[in-house]
Amino acid sequence: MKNAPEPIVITGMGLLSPLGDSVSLLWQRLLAGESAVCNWPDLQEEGYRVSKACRLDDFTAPPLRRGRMLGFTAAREAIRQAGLTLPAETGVFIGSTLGESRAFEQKAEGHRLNLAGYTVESFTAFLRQKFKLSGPQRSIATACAAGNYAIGAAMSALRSGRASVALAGGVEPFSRLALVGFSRSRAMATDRCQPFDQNRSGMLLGEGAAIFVLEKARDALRRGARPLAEVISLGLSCDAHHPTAPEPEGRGMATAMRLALEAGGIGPEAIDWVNAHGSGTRLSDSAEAKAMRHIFGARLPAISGSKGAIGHALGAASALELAICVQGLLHQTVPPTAGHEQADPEAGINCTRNARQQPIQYVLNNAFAFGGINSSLLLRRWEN
Amino acid sequence: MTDQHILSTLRHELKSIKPKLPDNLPENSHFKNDWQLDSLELVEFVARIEQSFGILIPDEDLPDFISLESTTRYLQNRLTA
Amino acid sequence: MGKLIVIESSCTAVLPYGLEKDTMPEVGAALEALFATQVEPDARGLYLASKNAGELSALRFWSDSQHSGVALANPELFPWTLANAPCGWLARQFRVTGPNYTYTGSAEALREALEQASEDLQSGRVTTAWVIAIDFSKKPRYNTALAAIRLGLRDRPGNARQQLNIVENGSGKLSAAAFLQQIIRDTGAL
Repeated sequence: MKNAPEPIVITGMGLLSPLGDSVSLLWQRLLAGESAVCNWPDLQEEGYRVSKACRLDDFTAPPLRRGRMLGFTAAREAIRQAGLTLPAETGVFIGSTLGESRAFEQKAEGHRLNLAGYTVESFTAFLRQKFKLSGPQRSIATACAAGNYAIGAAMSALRSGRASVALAGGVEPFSRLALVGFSRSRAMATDRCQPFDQNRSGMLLGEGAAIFVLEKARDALRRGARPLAEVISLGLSCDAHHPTAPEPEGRGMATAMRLALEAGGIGPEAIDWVNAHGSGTRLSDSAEAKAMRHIFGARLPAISGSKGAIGHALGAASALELAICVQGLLHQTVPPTAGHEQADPEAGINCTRNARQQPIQYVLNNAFAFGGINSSLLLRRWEN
Repeated sequence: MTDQHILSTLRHELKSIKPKLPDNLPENSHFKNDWQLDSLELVEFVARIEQSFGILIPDEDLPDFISLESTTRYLQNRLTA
Repeated sequence: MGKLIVIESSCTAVLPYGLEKDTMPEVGAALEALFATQVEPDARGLYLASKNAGELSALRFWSDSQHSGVALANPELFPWTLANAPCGWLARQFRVTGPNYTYTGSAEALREALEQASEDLQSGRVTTAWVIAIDFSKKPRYNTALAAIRLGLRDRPGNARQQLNIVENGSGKLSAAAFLQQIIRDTGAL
């Protein structure tokens, strides 16, 4: 029998989201059922098919450095909350889609730019430089699942001893390139994002960053820190089915959830809550619904989704949602699912409509991406 | 624009998406039932039509795109409107 | 415990300039033999490092959209604009349903891919891992560089030189593909 793996905990988190630039503000507005979706006159004027989105209207940064500044600002808050002076060997694990999208757009418009300085690696490098870190690093470009991947990489590095502390999360500056791409694929809603709803018509774009400080539980406790939640395991799979569509039965999605549960040594009945990927597209929600029914059978745990409230922040989405999961564990509350009004009878998933107080020991954070990538991160409430 | 011109553009775009389709795809054959065009291929087809003809096609018009015949009729209506 | 990670097979190639969507079928053809395996699809993992996956398509897509108007952008280049699209293509081509990683950057990205593949092999998550480096040519006069290895676990290496040893120095400013080519050379040109 395998030894139980070293417990890894989150001791700090910082984020910038379209519903607030702090974890507590996002949580408060999420519980109130708010949505950040609004119409953006600049996008309308520029002629985009979809001009509704969830953006950070009060965060300013030079356009070509928006991503790295989002990451840095979130990381600074996470470190402050962790109450830690980062050792030089701290690892940095960052997920994103492409990098500074604006730089790619400007280069295509004829500006002279060396794009090597604007890839996902540039986000990682900036954090290492600003906080003077020389530990292990990962710059993970797995699109809409990248945040979960980054947390998984941090967890492995801490368990193997390659890093004693990790900064990990997801970063995504608002991307016009993605806006055009997803709308040309008709994956976008014209009005609002409605996860698992009968009338759902697609996703809406978001942006933001969420960064976490992770440590071994015993290190955190030794220095008197308060663990916020325990990160248990990450299940990964790939559909190998289609460039954009998920495998319609959700087999790969179910595999990711099953692997997370197996690695955590628990059965599906132990799960109290699933923070679903819930992109609001017909195909993805339908496949995820089947995957959840396959794993949980008739006894579904509480299911919520946040993309109706904060949009789909692509590479930062699962990191922002991880912060929501941690808040849920701390407050023993499942947040409401903005946009979910009438459950799609075919999908058969009733998401939370109001904040629901209930005991939560375990939560799964699902994140899937174009290319058939599936990820599911298992978290546990931290109890002394 | 003549029906023939529209048809030849449509056949060209369809072949780019599904190279196995025959060159002389019958006008009344059904994209989905006869040629197994899935919903995402249809989305790409419509996106290519938008680009080729310079028009925006709203989601609610997608049911019109079931065969070359119905698509040509739709385009003639849009282009002469 | 204590099993060794070995390079079972390797491949290097130079390919002509092309967008990701046109280059990947050529990458697939070059890697056909490397992927010949009976291993269960779920026990296969893909770990791709690239300095610029997605970049060419993103640039072309955006530049086209500036001409056609953003509402009528050319649909065929998306989702090739996403950095993980090439690795997704490989997964479909070679039926790899286990972990699917894309790292962007230079030699460091390759090191990250190798470390993750090693971890997944040691933990038993996969039994065979393909580490692939592709640096797409940015201009027609240059080639795309491809290097790939298939990794497995052995109790004892049949050939000690096959053992994967990620050198900690010497990679300098190499690109991902050049670094993997160097590793292939150092371990004995399999």
